[in-house]
Amino acid sequence: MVQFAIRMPQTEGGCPEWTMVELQGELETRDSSGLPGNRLGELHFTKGGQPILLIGHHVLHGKVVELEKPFAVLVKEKEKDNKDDSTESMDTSVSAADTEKCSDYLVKAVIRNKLVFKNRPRPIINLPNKRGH
Amino acid sequence: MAGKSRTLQEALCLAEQAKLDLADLNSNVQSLYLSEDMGDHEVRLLELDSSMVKHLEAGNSLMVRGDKADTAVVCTEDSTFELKSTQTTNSLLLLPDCRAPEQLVTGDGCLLNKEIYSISHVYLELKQCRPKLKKLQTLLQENVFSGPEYESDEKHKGKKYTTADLLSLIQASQKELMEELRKLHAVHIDGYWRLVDFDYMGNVLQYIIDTVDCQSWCYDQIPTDRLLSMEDNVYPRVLLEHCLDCYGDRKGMEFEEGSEQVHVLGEDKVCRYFAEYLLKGVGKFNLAEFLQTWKESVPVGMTTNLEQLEGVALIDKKSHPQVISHFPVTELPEDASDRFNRLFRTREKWTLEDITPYIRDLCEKKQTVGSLLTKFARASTLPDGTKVYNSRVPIK
Repeated sequence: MVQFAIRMPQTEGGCPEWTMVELQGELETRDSSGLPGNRLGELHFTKGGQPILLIGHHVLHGKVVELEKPFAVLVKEKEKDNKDDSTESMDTSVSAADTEKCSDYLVKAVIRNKLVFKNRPRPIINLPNKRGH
Repeated sequence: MAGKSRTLQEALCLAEQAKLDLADLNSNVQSLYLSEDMGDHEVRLLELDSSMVKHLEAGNSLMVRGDKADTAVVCTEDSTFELKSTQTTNSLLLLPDCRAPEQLVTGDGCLLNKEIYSISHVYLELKQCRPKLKKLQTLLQENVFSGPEYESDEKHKGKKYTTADLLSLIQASQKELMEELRKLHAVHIDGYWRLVDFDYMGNVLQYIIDTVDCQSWCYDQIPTDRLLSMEDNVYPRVLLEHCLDCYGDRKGMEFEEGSEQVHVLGEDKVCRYFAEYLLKGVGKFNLAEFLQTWKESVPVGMTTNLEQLEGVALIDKKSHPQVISHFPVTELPEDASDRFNRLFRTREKWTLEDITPYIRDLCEKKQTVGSLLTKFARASTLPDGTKVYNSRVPIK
Protein backbone atom coordinates (compact mmCIF):
# COMPACT_ATOMS: atom_id res chain seq x y z
CA MET A 1 0.00 0.00 0.00
CA VAL A 2 1.13 3.48 -0.85
CA GLN A 3 0.38 6.27 1.55
CA PHE A 4 1.16 9.95 1.39
CA ALA A 5 -0.24 13.20 2.70
CA ILE A 6 -1.53 16.33 1.03
CA ARG A 7 -0.50 19.30 3.12
CA MET A 8 -0.77 23.04 2.91
CA PRO A 9 2.42 24.81 4.02
CA GLN A 10 1.45 27.18 6.81
CA THR A 11 2.64 30.54 5.62
CA GLU A 12 1.88 34.03 6.72
CA GLY A 13 -0.98 35.49 4.73
CA GLY A 14 -2.33 32.06 3.90
CA CYS A 15 -2.16 29.97 0.79
CA PRO A 16 -1.73 31.92 -2.48
CA GLU A 17 -4.82 32.20 -4.61
CA TRP A 18 -4.46 31.55 -8.31
CA THR A 19 -6.85 32.00 -11.19
CA MET A 20 -7.80 29.47 -13.82
CA VAL A 21 -8.39 30.45 -17.42
CA GLU A 22 -10.46 27.83 -19.22
CA LEU A 23 -10.29 27.77 -23.01
CA GLN A 24 -12.02 25.37 -25.33
CA GLY A 25 -9.69 23.10 -27.20
CA GLU A 26 -5.94 23.22 -27.53
CA LEU A 27 -3.54 26.11 -27.84
CA GLU A 28 -1.18 25.94 -30.77
CA THR A 29 1.53 28.18 -32.11
CA ARG A 30 1.62 29.19 -35.73
CA ASP A 31 5.19 28.15 -36.11
CA SER A 32 6.60 25.10 -34.39
CA SER A 33 8.31 27.08 -31.64
CA GLY A 34 6.21 25.37 -28.96
CA LEU A 35 4.26 27.06 -26.25
CA PRO A 36 6.75 27.74 -23.44
CA GLY A 37 7.98 31.30 -23.31
CA ASN A 38 5.53 32.58 -25.87
CA ARG A 39 3.05 35.36 -25.47
CA LEU A 40 -0.52 34.10 -25.35
CA GLY A 41 -2.42 37.32 -25.65
CA GLU A 42 -4.03 40.16 -23.77
CA LEU A 43 -6.63 39.96 -21.09
CA HIS A 44 -8.99 42.91 -20.83
CA PHE A 45 -11.86 43.47 -18.50
CA THR A 46 -14.88 45.56 -19.34
CA LYS A 47 -15.93 48.13 -16.78
CA GLY A 48 -18.67 45.67 -15.86
CA GLY A 49 -16.01 43.06 -15.03
CA GLN A 50 -16.45 40.81 -18.04
CA PRO A 51 -13.18 39.29 -19.27
CA ILE A 52 -12.16 39.59 -22.91
CA LEU A 53 -9.19 37.71 -24.23
CA LEU A 54 -7.37 38.61 -27.44
CA ILE A 55 -5.35 35.71 -28.77
CA GLY A 56 -3.72 36.15 -32.16
CA HIS A 57 -6.52 37.33 -34.42
CA HIS A 58 -9.26 36.01 -32.18
CA VAL A 59 -11.50 37.76 -29.71
CA LEU A 60 -12.95 35.69 -26.92
CA HIS A 61 -15.67 36.94 -24.63
CA GLY A 62 -15.85 35.15 -21.33
CA LYS A 63 -17.14 35.39 -17.83
CA VAL A 64 -15.82 35.12 -14.29
CA VAL A 65 -17.13 32.03 -12.52
CA GLU A 66 -16.78 31.34 -8.83
CA LEU A 67 -16.00 27.64 -8.48
CA GLU A 68 -18.45 25.67 -6.42
CA LYS A 69 -15.60 23.34 -5.59
CA PRO A 70 -12.22 25.04 -5.43
CA PHE A 71 -9.14 23.46 -6.98
CA ALA A 72 -5.96 22.81 -5.07
CA VAL A 73 -2.78 23.08 -7.13
CA LEU A 74 -0.61 20.24 -5.91
CA VAL A 75 3.12 19.83 -6.35
CA LYS A 76 5.26 16.97 -5.18
CA GLU A 77 7.32 17.78 -2.13
CA LYS A 78 11.02 17.76 -2.82
CA GLU A 79 12.86 14.67 -1.59
CA LYS A 80 13.80 15.05 2.02
CA ASP A 81 17.26 14.22 3.20
CA ASN A 82 16.85 10.57 3.99
CA LYS A 83 20.46 9.73 4.73
CA ASP A 84 19.75 8.79 8.33
CA ASP A 85 17.21 6.25 7.25
CA SER A 86 19.63 4.20 5.21
CA THR A 87 21.30 2.82 8.28
CA GLU A 88 18.02 2.15 10.01
CA SER A 89 16.68 0.19 7.10
CA MET A 90 19.11 -2.55 8.00
CA ASP A 91 16.98 -3.11 11.05
CA THR A 92 14.82 -6.19 10.65
CA SER A 93 11.87 -4.92 12.67
CA VAL A 94 10.25 -2.72 10.09
CA SER A 95 6.76 -1.79 11.13
CA ALA A 96 3.97 -2.10 8.57
CA ALA A 97 6.43 -3.48 6.06
CA ASP A 98 3.89 -3.44 3.23
CA THR A 99 3.65 0.32 3.29
CA GLU A 100 5.64 2.26 0.77
CA LYS A 101 6.40 5.79 1.83
CA CYS A 102 5.89 8.22 -1.01
CA SER A 103 6.70 11.87 -1.02
CA ASP A 104 3.91 14.10 0.11
CA TYR A 105 2.12 16.64 -2.04
CA LEU A 106 1.99 20.28 -1.09
CA VAL A 107 -0.82 22.68 -1.89
CA LYS A 108 0.94 25.40 -3.81
CA ALA A 109 -2.18 27.44 -4.40
CA VAL A 110 -5.95 27.37 -4.22
CA ILE A 111 -8.12 28.33 -7.17
CA ARG A 112 -11.53 29.73 -6.33
CA ASN A 113 -12.31 31.66 -9.51
CA LYS A 114 -11.97 30.88 -13.15
CA LEU A 115 -12.33 32.87 -16.31
CA VAL A 116 -14.29 30.75 -18.74
CA PHE A 117 -14.22 31.41 -22.46
CA LYS A 118 -16.91 29.18 -23.85
CA ASN A 119 -18.08 31.12 -26.86
CA ARG A 120 -16.67 30.60 -30.31
CA PRO A 121 -13.77 32.98 -30.90
CA ARG A 122 -14.58 35.88 -33.23
CA PRO A 123 -11.93 36.76 -35.76
CA ILE A 124 -10.36 40.23 -35.89
CA ILE A 125 -10.78 40.99 -39.55
CA ASN A 126 -8.81 44.09 -40.36
CA LEU A 127 -5.45 43.22 -38.86
CA PRO A 128 -2.93 45.43 -40.61
CA ASN A 129 -0.10 42.93 -40.72
CA LYS A 130 0.93 39.37 -40.06
CA ARG A 131 1.58 40.13 -36.45
CA GLY A 132 0.45 37.93 -33.63
CA HIS A 133 -0.38 34.37 -32.85
CA MET B 1 7.69 36.40 -30.63
CA ALA B 2 9.25 35.39 -27.34
CA GLY B 3 10.71 38.19 -25.33
CA LYS B 4 9.07 40.89 -27.38
CA SER B 5 6.64 42.44 -25.01
CA ARG B 6 3.75 44.48 -26.13
CA THR B 7 3.22 48.00 -25.06
CA LEU B 8 -0.03 49.24 -23.68
CA GLN B 9 -0.41 51.28 -26.81
CA GLU B 10 -0.17 48.21 -29.04
CA ALA B 11 -2.60 46.33 -26.87
CA LEU B 12 -5.17 49.08 -27.01
CA CYS B 13 -4.68 49.44 -30.71
CA LEU B 14 -5.37 45.77 -31.21
CA ALA B 15 -8.44 46.01 -29.02
CA GLU B 16 -9.72 48.80 -31.17
CA GLN B 17 -9.17 46.76 -34.30
CA ALA B 18 -11.09 43.96 -32.61
CA LYS B 19 -13.96 46.45 -32.46
CA LEU B 20 -14.00 46.55 -28.68
CA ASP B 21 -15.42 49.69 -27.17
CA LEU B 22 -12.36 51.18 -25.50
CA ALA B 23 -14.49 53.48 -23.39
CA ASP B 24 -16.10 50.44 -21.80
CA LEU B 25 -12.78 48.70 -21.06
CA ASN B 26 -10.82 48.81 -17.88
CA SER B 27 -7.77 50.83 -18.81
CA ASN B 28 -5.44 48.22 -17.35
CA VAL B 29 -4.47 45.28 -19.53
CA GLN B 30 -2.84 42.04 -18.53
CA SER B 31 -0.53 40.52 -21.09
CA LEU B 32 -0.36 36.77 -20.64
CA TYR B 33 2.83 34.82 -21.23
CA LEU B 34 3.45 31.11 -21.09
CA SER B 35 6.22 30.29 -18.63
CA GLU B 36 9.57 29.29 -20.13
CA ASP B 37 9.68 26.42 -17.63
CA MET B 38 6.15 25.28 -18.26
CA GLY B 39 7.36 21.78 -19.09
CA ASP B 40 9.04 21.41 -15.69
CA HIS B 41 6.04 22.61 -13.76
CA GLU B 42 4.45 19.36 -12.81
CA VAL B 43 1.25 20.13 -11.04
CA ARG B 44 -1.89 18.23 -10.28
CA LEU B 45 -5.27 19.84 -9.91
CA LEU B 46 -7.45 18.42 -7.20
CA GLU B 47 -11.05 19.49 -6.87
CA LEU B 48 -11.95 19.94 -3.21
CA ASP B 49 -15.01 21.11 -1.40
CA SER B 50 -14.70 24.21 0.73
CA SER B 51 -14.70 22.26 4.00
CA MET B 52 -11.59 20.38 2.91
CA VAL B 53 -9.86 23.61 1.97
CA LYS B 54 -10.58 24.87 5.49
CA HIS B 55 -9.29 21.58 6.89
CA LEU B 56 -6.01 22.08 5.00
CA GLU B 57 -5.82 25.74 5.89
CA ALA B 58 -6.03 24.79 9.54
CA GLY B 59 -2.82 22.83 9.09
CA ASN B 60 -4.37 19.37 8.82
CA SER B 61 -3.48 16.87 6.13
CA LEU B 62 -5.49 14.77 3.75
CA MET B 63 -4.16 11.24 3.51
CA VAL B 64 -4.00 9.44 0.18
CA ARG B 65 -4.05 5.67 0.51
CA GLY B 66 -3.96 3.19 -2.31
CA ASP B 67 -2.73 -0.11 -3.55
CA LYS B 68 -1.62 -0.88 -7.03
CA ALA B 69 -4.66 -3.12 -7.22
CA ASP B 70 -7.30 -0.75 -5.89
CA THR B 71 -8.17 2.84 -6.61
CA ALA B 72 -6.63 5.44 -4.36
CA VAL B 73 -8.75 7.07 -1.70
CA VAL B 74 -8.37 10.36 0.11
CA CYS B 75 -9.18 10.41 3.80
CA THR B 76 -10.05 13.28 6.07
CA GLU B 77 -10.30 12.65 9.80
CA ASP B 78 -13.76 11.16 9.46
CA SER B 79 -14.56 10.40 5.81
CA THR B 80 -13.24 8.52 2.81
CA PHE B 81 -13.33 9.66 -0.81
CA GLU B 82 -12.53 7.89 -4.04
CA LEU B 83 -10.01 9.67 -6.21
CA LYS B 84 -11.01 9.87 -9.85
CA SER B 85 -9.04 11.39 -12.68
CA THR B 86 -11.05 13.38 -15.22
CA GLN B 87 -9.84 14.36 -18.68
CA THR B 88 -11.10 17.48 -20.36
CA THR B 89 -10.67 18.64 -23.94
CA ASN B 90 -10.54 22.19 -22.61
CA SER B 91 -7.25 23.82 -21.75
CA LEU B 92 -6.98 24.84 -18.12
CA LEU B 93 -4.44 27.64 -17.76
CA LEU B 94 -3.08 28.33 -14.31
CA LEU B 95 -2.36 31.96 -13.62
CA PRO B 96 -0.57 32.62 -10.33
CA ASP B 97 -0.97 36.37 -10.31
CA CYS B 98 -4.01 37.31 -12.32
CA ARG B 99 -5.69 40.49 -11.18
CA ALA B 100 -9.43 40.46 -10.74
CA PRO B 101 -11.21 43.48 -12.26
CA GLU B 102 -11.79 44.98 -8.82
CA GLN B 103 -8.03 44.85 -8.19
CA LEU B 104 -7.33 46.85 -11.32
CA VAL B 105 -7.81 50.42 -10.29
CA THR B 106 -8.92 52.35 -13.28
CA GLY B 107 -6.87 55.43 -13.93
CA ASP B 108 -3.82 55.95 -16.02
CA GLY B 109 -3.85 52.44 -17.27
CA CYS B 110 -0.92 50.14 -17.60
CA LEU B 111 0.07 46.86 -19.07
CA LEU B 112 0.94 44.11 -16.64
CA ASN B 113 2.88 41.07 -17.75
CA LYS B 114 1.51 37.90 -16.19
CA GLU B 115 2.97 34.46 -16.50
CA ILE B 116 0.97 31.28 -17.04
CA TYR B 117 2.48 28.61 -14.81
CA SER B 118 1.20 25.60 -16.68
CA ILE B 119 -1.63 24.19 -18.77
CA SER B 120 -3.64 21.15 -17.66
CA HIS B 121 -6.09 18.90 -19.41
CA VAL B 122 -6.78 16.68 -16.48
CA TYR B 123 -7.90 17.11 -12.91
CA LEU B 124 -8.68 14.90 -9.94
CA GLU B 125 -12.14 14.67 -8.46
CA LEU B 126 -13.25 13.26 -5.12
CA LYS B 127 -16.39 11.25 -4.54
CA GLN B 128 -17.36 10.23 -1.05
CA CYS B 129 -17.44 6.47 -0.65
CA ARG B 130 -17.77 3.80 1.99
CA PRO B 131 -14.43 2.97 3.60
CA LYS B 132 -12.86 -0.27 2.40
CA LEU B 133 -12.68 -2.19 5.63
CA LYS B 134 -12.92 -5.87 4.73
CA LYS B 135 -9.15 -6.25 4.84
CA LEU B 136 -9.17 -5.24 8.50
CA GLN B 137 -10.77 -8.52 9.61
CA THR B 138 -8.33 -10.52 7.52
CA LEU B 139 -5.35 -8.70 9.02
CA LEU B 140 -6.58 -9.03 12.59
CA GLN B 141 -7.30 -12.71 12.14
CA GLU B 142 -3.58 -13.32 11.73
CA ASN B 143 -3.21 -13.26 15.49
CA VAL B 144 -6.38 -13.54 17.55
CA PHE B 145 -6.19 -13.09 21.31
CA SER B 146 -7.28 -16.23 23.18
CA GLY B 147 -5.93 -15.54 26.63
CA PRO B 148 -2.62 -14.36 28.10
CA GLU B 149 -1.47 -17.91 28.72
CA TYR B 150 -1.48 -18.68 24.98
CA GLU B 151 0.30 -15.54 23.80
CA SER B 152 3.63 -17.23 23.24
CA ASP B 153 2.50 -20.51 21.73
CA GLU B 154 2.77 -21.52 18.06
CA LYS B 155 -0.70 -20.33 17.10
CA HIS B 156 0.00 -16.79 18.25
CA LYS B 157 3.08 -15.95 16.23
CA GLY B 158 1.08 -14.01 13.61
CA LYS B 159 1.54 -10.33 12.99
CA LYS B 160 -0.04 -7.81 15.33
CA TYR B 161 -1.02 -4.31 14.27
CA THR B 162 -0.88 -0.90 15.91
CA THR B 163 -3.25 1.95 15.06
CA ALA B 164 -0.59 3.49 12.81
CA ASP B 165 -0.03 0.17 11.03
CA LEU B 166 -3.74 -0.20 10.36
CA LEU B 167 -4.11 3.37 9.13
CA SER B 168 -1.39 2.74 6.58
CA LEU B 169 -2.97 -0.51 5.39
CA ILE B 170 -6.69 0.17 5.41
CA GLN B 171 -8.45 2.57 3.05
CA ALA B 172 -10.46 4.38 5.68
CA SER B 173 -10.35 7.51 7.77
CA GLN B 174 -9.24 7.25 11.38
CA LYS B 175 -12.78 7.69 12.67
CA GLU B 176 -14.16 5.03 10.34
CA LEU B 177 -11.35 2.66 11.30
CA MET B 178 -12.04 3.14 15.01
CA GLU B 179 -15.76 2.55 14.49
CA GLU B 180 -15.06 -0.66 12.63
CA LEU B 181 -12.68 -1.88 15.33
CA ARG B 182 -15.44 -1.30 17.85
CA LYS B 183 -17.92 -3.16 15.66
CA LEU B 184 -15.56 -6.11 15.38
CA HIS B 185 -15.12 -6.09 19.17
CA ALA B 186 -11.37 -5.64 18.76
CA VAL B 187 -9.44 -4.84 21.91
CA HIS B 188 -6.34 -2.70 22.29
CA ILE B 189 -3.81 -4.77 24.25
CA ASP B 190 -0.20 -3.65 24.78
CA GLY B 191 -0.47 -1.22 21.88
CA TYR B 192 -1.88 -3.74 19.41
CA TRP B 193 -5.40 -4.18 18.09
CA ARG B 194 -6.58 -7.77 18.51
CA LEU B 195 -9.72 -9.69 17.78
CA VAL B 196 -10.75 -11.79 20.74
CA ASP B 197 -11.39 -15.48 20.25
CA PHE B 198 -15.13 -16.11 20.28
CA ASP B 199 -15.05 -18.84 22.93
CA TYR B 200 -12.63 -16.93 25.14
CA MET B 201 -14.91 -13.87 24.98
CA GLY B 202 -17.79 -16.14 25.99
CA ASN B 203 -15.85 -17.37 28.99
CA VAL B 204 -15.19 -13.79 30.09
CA LEU B 205 -18.85 -12.91 29.63
CA GLN B 206 -19.94 -15.99 31.57
CA TYR B 207 -17.51 -15.08 34.34
CA ILE B 208 -19.01 -11.59 34.54
CA ILE B 209 -22.52 -13.00 34.64
CA ASP B 210 -21.56 -15.47 37.38
CA THR B 211 -19.84 -12.75 39.38
CA VAL B 212 -22.87 -10.48 39.10
CA ASP B 213 -25.06 -13.34 40.39
CA CYS B 214 -22.62 -14.19 43.12
CA GLN B 215 -22.40 -10.60 44.35
CA SER B 216 -26.17 -10.13 43.97
CA TRP B 217 -25.65 -7.19 41.63
CA CYS B 218 -28.10 -6.35 38.85
CA TYR B 219 -27.34 -6.74 35.16
CA ASP B 220 -28.35 -3.16 34.57
CA GLN B 221 -26.18 -1.84 37.38
CA ILE B 222 -22.82 -3.58 37.45
CA PRO B 223 -20.37 -1.46 39.49
CA THR B 224 -17.51 -1.25 36.99
CA ASP B 225 -14.63 -0.45 39.34
CA ARG B 226 -15.64 -2.89 42.00
CA LEU B 227 -15.86 -5.69 39.45
CA LEU B 228 -12.57 -4.80 37.77
CA SER B 229 -10.63 -4.53 41.00
CA MET B 230 -11.81 -7.76 42.58
CA GLU B 231 -8.72 -9.57 43.79
CA ASP B 232 -9.55 -13.04 42.63
CA ASN B 233 -10.52 -12.15 39.06
CA VAL B 234 -9.36 -14.91 36.75
CA TYR B 235 -9.34 -12.74 33.62
CA PRO B 236 -7.14 -9.73 32.87
CA ARG B 237 -8.64 -6.38 33.75
CA VAL B 238 -8.40 -5.08 30.18
CA LEU B 239 -10.43 -8.03 28.89
CA LEU B 240 -13.06 -7.74 31.60
CA GLU B 241 -13.50 -4.06 30.84
CA HIS B 242 -13.54 -4.76 27.11
CA CYS B 243 -16.20 -7.42 27.56
CA LEU B 244 -18.32 -5.04 29.64
CA ASP B 245 -18.01 -2.42 26.87
CA CYS B 246 -18.88 -4.95 24.14
CA TYR B 247 -21.97 -6.31 25.86
CA GLY B 248 -23.00 -3.31 27.89
CA ASP B 249 -23.02 0.46 28.07
CA ARG B 250 -21.33 2.77 30.52
CA LYS B 251 -23.54 4.89 32.72
CA GLY B 252 -22.97 7.20 35.67
CA MET B 253 -25.18 6.44 38.67
CA GLU B 254 -25.96 8.63 41.64
CA PHE B 255 -26.12 6.85 44.98
CA GLU B 256 -26.56 8.18 48.49
CA GLU B 257 -22.85 7.58 49.12
CA GLY B 258 -21.86 9.42 45.94
CA SER B 259 -21.70 8.70 42.26
CA GLU B 260 -20.39 5.53 40.71
CA GLN B 261 -19.80 4.37 37.19
CA VAL B 262 -21.77 1.29 36.28
CA HIS B 263 -22.22 -0.89 33.23
CA VAL B 264 -25.68 -1.74 31.97
CA LEU B 265 -25.48 -5.16 30.38
CA GLY B 266 -27.39 -5.10 27.07
CA GLU B 267 -29.96 -7.86 26.96
CA ASP B 268 -30.00 -7.96 23.14
CA LYS B 269 -26.22 -8.14 22.89
CA VAL B 270 -25.88 -10.88 25.51
CA CYS B 271 -28.72 -12.93 24.03
CA ARG B 272 -27.14 -12.55 20.59
CA TYR B 273 -23.87 -13.93 21.91
CA PHE B 274 -25.59 -17.03 23.25
CA ALA B 275 -27.46 -17.55 19.99
CA GLU B 276 -24.26 -17.33 17.98
CA TYR B 277 -22.59 -19.68 20.42
CA LEU B 278 -25.31 -22.27 19.69
CA LEU B 279 -25.42 -21.69 15.93
CA LYS B 280 -21.73 -21.35 15.12
CA GLY B 281 -20.43 -24.29 13.16
CA VAL B 282 -23.68 -26.23 13.40
CA GLY B 283 -25.13 -25.56 9.97
CA LYS B 284 -28.90 -25.80 10.20
CA PHE B 285 -30.70 -25.95 13.51
CA ASN B 286 -34.35 -26.95 13.97
CA LEU B 287 -35.96 -23.59 14.79
CA ALA B 288 -38.27 -24.81 17.55
CA GLU B 289 -35.46 -26.70 19.26
CA PHE B 290 -33.12 -23.80 18.86
CA LEU B 291 -35.56 -21.33 20.42
CA GLN B 292 -36.00 -23.63 23.42
CA THR B 293 -32.25 -24.21 23.93
CA TRP B 294 -31.48 -20.54 23.42
CA LYS B 295 -34.07 -19.44 25.96
CA GLU B 296 -32.61 -21.83 28.51
CA SER B 297 -29.00 -20.79 27.87
CA VAL B 298 -29.25 -17.06 28.52
CA PRO B 299 -28.83 -15.60 32.02
CA VAL B 300 -31.89 -15.75 34.23
CA GLY B 301 -34.02 -12.68 33.77
CA MET B 302 -33.04 -12.06 30.15
CA THR B 303 -35.54 -12.63 27.39
CA THR B 304 -34.67 -13.97 23.97
CA ASN B 305 -36.32 -12.52 20.92
CA LEU B 306 -35.75 -13.38 17.24
CA GLU B 307 -35.29 -9.69 16.40
CA GLN B 308 -32.03 -9.88 18.34
CA LEU B 309 -30.66 -12.06 15.55
CA GLU B 310 -31.10 -9.55 12.75
CA GLY B 311 -28.05 -9.74 10.50
CA VAL B 312 -26.70 -12.72 12.44
CA ALA B 313 -28.94 -15.67 11.60
CA LEU B 314 -31.35 -16.61 8.86
CA ILE B 315 -34.59 -18.53 9.26
CA ASP B 316 -35.88 -20.74 6.48
CA LYS B 317 -39.65 -20.59 6.86
CA LYS B 318 -40.32 -22.73 3.81
CA SER B 319 -38.65 -25.87 5.02
CA HIS B 320 -40.46 -28.39 7.26
CA PRO B 321 -39.65 -28.14 10.04
CA GLN B 322 -38.42 -24.56 9.94
CA VAL B 323 -34.69 -24.21 10.42
CA ILE B 324 -32.31 -21.45 11.46
CA SER B 325 -28.68 -21.05 10.46
CA HIS B 326 -25.79 -18.78 11.35
CA PHE B 327 -25.40 -16.15 8.62
CA PRO B 328 -23.59 -13.07 9.93
CA VAL B 329 -23.48 -9.97 7.75
CA THR B 330 -19.92 -9.34 8.97
CA GLU B 331 -18.70 -12.30 6.93
CA LEU B 332 -20.21 -11.14 3.63
CA PRO B 333 -18.33 -9.26 0.88
CA GLU B 334 -18.26 -5.47 1.21
CA ASP B 335 -18.57 -4.74 -2.50
CA ALA B 336 -22.26 -4.25 -3.34
CA SER B 337 -22.50 -6.49 -6.42
CA ASP B 338 -20.47 -9.25 -4.73
CA ARG B 339 -22.70 -8.94 -1.69
CA PHE B 340 -25.90 -9.31 -3.72
CA ASN B 341 -24.42 -12.23 -5.60
CA ARG B 342 -23.66 -14.00 -2.33
CA LEU B 343 -27.11 -13.24 -0.94
CA PHE B 344 -28.91 -14.53 -4.02
CA ARG B 345 -26.70 -17.60 -4.07
CA THR B 346 -27.73 -18.32 -0.49
CA ARG B 347 -31.38 -17.72 -1.16
CA GLU B 348 -33.08 -17.15 -4.51
CA LYS B 349 -35.88 -14.88 -3.32
CA TRP B 350 -35.78 -12.48 -0.39
CA THR B 351 -38.46 -10.47 1.33
CA LEU B 352 -37.63 -6.84 2.09
CA GLU B 353 -37.69 -7.60 5.80
CA ASP B 354 -35.21 -10.47 5.49
CA ILE B 355 -32.74 -8.77 3.16
CA THR B 356 -32.64 -5.34 4.82
CA PRO B 357 -30.20 -6.25 7.64
CA TYR B 358 -27.85 -7.74 5.05
CA ILE B 359 -27.62 -4.72 2.77
CA ARG B 360 -28.25 -1.74 5.04
CA ASP B 361 -24.51 -1.19 5.59
CA LEU B 362 -23.95 -0.95 1.81
CA CYS B 363 -25.85 2.30 1.47
CA GLU B 364 -23.65 5.13 0.27
CA LYS B 365 -24.41 8.63 1.43
CA LYS B 366 -28.03 9.51 0.57
CA GLN B 367 -28.69 5.98 -0.71
CA THR B 368 -31.49 3.86 0.71
CA VAL B 369 -32.13 0.12 0.90
CA GLY B 370 -34.87 0.72 -1.67
CA SER B 371 -32.55 2.34 -4.20
CA LEU B 372 -29.99 -0.44 -3.72
CA LEU B 373 -32.68 -3.03 -4.44
CA THR B 374 -33.77 -1.16 -7.56
CA LYS B 375 -30.22 -1.31 -8.80
CA PHE B 376 -29.30 -4.89 -7.94
CA ALA B 377 -32.60 -6.82 -7.65
CA ARG B 378 -35.85 -7.40 -9.45
CA ALA B 379 -39.12 -7.37 -7.54
CA SER B 380 -41.94 -9.86 -8.08
CA THR B 381 -45.03 -10.95 -6.21
CA LEU B 382 -45.58 -14.53 -5.07
CA PRO B 383 -49.05 -16.19 -5.50
CA ASP B 384 -49.74 -15.54 -1.80
CA GLY B 385 -49.16 -11.82 -2.30
CA THR B 386 -45.70 -11.57 -0.73
CA LYS B 387 -43.36 -9.19 -2.50
CA VAL B 388 -39.96 -10.74 -3.06
CA TYR B 389 -36.66 -9.76 -4.68
CA ASN B 390 -34.47 -11.88 -6.89
CA SER B 391 -31.23 -11.23 -8.73
CA ARG B 392 -31.13 -8.87 -11.66
CA VAL B 393 -28.09 -10.59 -13.14
CA PRO B 394 -27.11 -14.27 -13.49
CA ILE B 395 -25.66 -15.55 -10.24
CA LYS B 396 -21.95 -16.28 -10.35
